[in-house]
Amino acid sequence: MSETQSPRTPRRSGAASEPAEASSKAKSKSGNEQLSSELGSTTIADAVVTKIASIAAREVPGVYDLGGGTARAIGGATRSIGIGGIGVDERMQGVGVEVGEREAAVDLTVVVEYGESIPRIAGALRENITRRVEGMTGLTVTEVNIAVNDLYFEGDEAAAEPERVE
Amino acid sequence: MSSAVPSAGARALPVSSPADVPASASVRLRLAALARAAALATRGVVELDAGRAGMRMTASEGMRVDGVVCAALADGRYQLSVHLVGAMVALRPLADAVRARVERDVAIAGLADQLGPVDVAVEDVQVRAEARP
Repeated sequence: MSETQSPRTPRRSGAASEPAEASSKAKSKSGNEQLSSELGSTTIADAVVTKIASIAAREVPGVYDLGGGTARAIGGATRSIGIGGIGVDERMQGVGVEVGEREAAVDLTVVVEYGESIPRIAGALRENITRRVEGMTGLTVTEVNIAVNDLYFEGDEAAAEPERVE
Repeated sequence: MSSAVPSAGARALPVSSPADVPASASVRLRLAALARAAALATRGVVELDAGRAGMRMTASEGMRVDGVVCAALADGRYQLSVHLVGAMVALRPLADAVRARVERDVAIAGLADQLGPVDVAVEDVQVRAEARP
């Protein structure tokens, strides 16, 4: 099951219903003009933006998990044998970022809970991720592209567990 | 071949405080130690990050300062690069605070003339529940 919500959104995708000055406001508050000076430069690693976006996505109600089927399966397998977190940070699965000197773009793969409005969740994701990334890093978020990869039904996990033989 | 012999930096004694560095030590090492202490004393800095290979460091005279790279500039000053892990706070102001504190502490130590640009790189952020080894 795979439904893509806005695979290539326009720049500043979350601003569709916002006033036109939202983008310029984001730039003026970001302090990007202080990124580099003769006193030194400030750089923010991709992993930082990835982690912030991942945490921000999980804060949105209706988001069950992040990542595609393969990433979640590997994460579940490593977790079940007690090596979860080794090598790969599970919280970063399903999040891809491109970070420039002043701007960042985020690609997200999510699993949403059945019964929730996908457009509402997508809007909330864009809003929350943009707010968190811009607030913490000063980067301007130009895109948040969201792919809804699966739906979660309550009880899915129990059904997936192997039966015990006694 | 090279992997059989650890680098001089790996064998060097880690510096945890500027007090560990004698006054007779090189300016490069002293600046790095001051920068490390200043960064760690800044609210919002969780730790410094030497990178997976441990190469983000300054090594000299049998000592090493992890997470800070201090390199000479052509004009005789030294450029500092501080690599840090931050808390979940606004990172740009955090970097500015680190830079200001480094400059202040270096000036107090009487090395302001030797100090060039102070670059700050946020390598990672740590959430409260996250336990780092």
